[in-house]
Amino acid sequence: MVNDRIEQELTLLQTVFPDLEWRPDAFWVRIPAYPIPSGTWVESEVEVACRIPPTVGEQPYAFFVRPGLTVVDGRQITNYTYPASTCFGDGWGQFSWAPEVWAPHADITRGSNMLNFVRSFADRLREGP
Amino acid sequence: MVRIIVDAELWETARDHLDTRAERVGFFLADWSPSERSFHVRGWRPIDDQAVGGWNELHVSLPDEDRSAVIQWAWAEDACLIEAHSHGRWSPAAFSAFDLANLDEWVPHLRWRLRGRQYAAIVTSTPATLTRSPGPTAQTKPSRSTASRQACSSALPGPRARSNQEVTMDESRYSRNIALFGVDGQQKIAATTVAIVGLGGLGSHVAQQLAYLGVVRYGLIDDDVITQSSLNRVVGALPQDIGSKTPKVRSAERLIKSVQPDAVIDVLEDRVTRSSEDAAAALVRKCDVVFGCLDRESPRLFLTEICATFRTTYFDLATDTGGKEDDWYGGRVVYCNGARCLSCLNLLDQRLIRLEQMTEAELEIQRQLYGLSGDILGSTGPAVVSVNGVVASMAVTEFMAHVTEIRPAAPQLVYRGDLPRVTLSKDIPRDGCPYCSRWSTT
Repeated sequence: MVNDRIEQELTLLQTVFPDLEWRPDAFWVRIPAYPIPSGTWVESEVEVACRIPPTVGEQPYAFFVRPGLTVVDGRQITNYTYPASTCFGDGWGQFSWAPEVWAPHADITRGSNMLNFVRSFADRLREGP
Repeated sequence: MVRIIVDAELWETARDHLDTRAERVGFFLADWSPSERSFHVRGWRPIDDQAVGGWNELHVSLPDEDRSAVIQWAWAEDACLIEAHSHGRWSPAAFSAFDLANLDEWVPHLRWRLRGRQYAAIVTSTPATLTRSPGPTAQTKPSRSTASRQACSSALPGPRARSNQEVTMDESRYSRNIALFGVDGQQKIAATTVAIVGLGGLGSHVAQQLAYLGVVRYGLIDDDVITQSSLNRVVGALPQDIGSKTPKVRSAERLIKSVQPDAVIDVLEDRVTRSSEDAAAALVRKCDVVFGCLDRESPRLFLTEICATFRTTYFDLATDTGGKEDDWYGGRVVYCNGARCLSCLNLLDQRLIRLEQMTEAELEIQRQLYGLSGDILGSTGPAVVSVNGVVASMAVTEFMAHVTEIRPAAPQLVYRGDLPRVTLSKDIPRDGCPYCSRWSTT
């Protein structure tokens, strides 16, 4: 069952990622083309996927990239698992990543939301391996 | 003593309908005066025989749509209901076993729908009409009525009503409660349906105290069984429960029934998880107040969501210790009712919520990532009956305050057993909480 809050989350995500794919049976979302910050990574664009918690008070955790990322200078990536699976199939790499604070507001635009979380993937990638 | 005061003209109208033959039915609309312990009748609604599908000379059973219409009538009029049915010329004006069985089923539902409003039933015969008041000694005649002067009988049957009846019939049982919060408060407690989620060290205390307090309708949820290690703190657990692997909900049910033999108890032997959420929600939906007596975080979050959705008052109980590095121990009670909740008070451990919902494969990834081993959800910590008892007593006292309205329930009480001290937390909830906004929606 998709509740009102998740519908709001998806609507908000679609304002920035209009071509996202949503799997309501598993509460997963996939963004086909997510830009990778330049300089550190071999890849410039990957698919990303993450799970939207069915309960608003639960903070999201982890994001997945496909293909798995490689660092330009060959260093190992920390807090990263490859290969990993999602409901969108195999061949993903999983970053262990969570918001420092999860403070949702009744007005989805005013507190923590999934769009903030998805945007924060770029922060993690900018940190380097 | 309870009286039913009905205008003579209205009474005649009702009798005209009821006296026609056996098993005719109607409902009085009435205002309840707690101070007078009287129903003041202000309306009458005969049930059309054509609408009564289950009618014959021996008994009558109202279709659901008629029952629903009557409840809506009372709800719209902000009034109580008094049902009346006739036994005709040949049967005595006394409730039959069939009547009482029907009332046992009907009254709890009706009182739940009407938020615990008083209810009475009358049975008549022709030409005599006999009633008996819900009170123990009362022989109430419908005053201001020029109708039949025969004795009348009414009843407040059904589980909740029985409890009300007990209050009146044996006030000595609750006299010490009543001395604190009055007969009205006792009746409010009897009319309140309570869910207890988690029947271990905390929930068993809560169950026992609620039974003594006078709660008669319960929903119990737990998937665990009594084990050897339960015997240091689970109230009502017996050594023989270990061999029989008695579920904790059954131990609690037995405990409640030992105090309240007529208690009506719905049992769900399951966890409150995403997969069982529908069943748990269905049970919680029937309740006015929920006690969360859990030792895991994700069920607390689910309960918060369910209670916010149904606007059900939620008391969350927890005990904790500082672990090996810190020797503090104690617990807390949070009263969630739209002004604050576990989410906006930041009382939920997001890491544990995440871990508790992971599959074993996902947990293995966590172990590899962070170099952990064994049970990363944490081993069981100290759990002592007296510490649990303090926290449960705080919660039940706040429940009592909330239901009887002798004072507002405390938002958050914190017990430090090591100091020892109980404090009223002044934590300010986060503004704009999505759960609290649901609770507050009218």
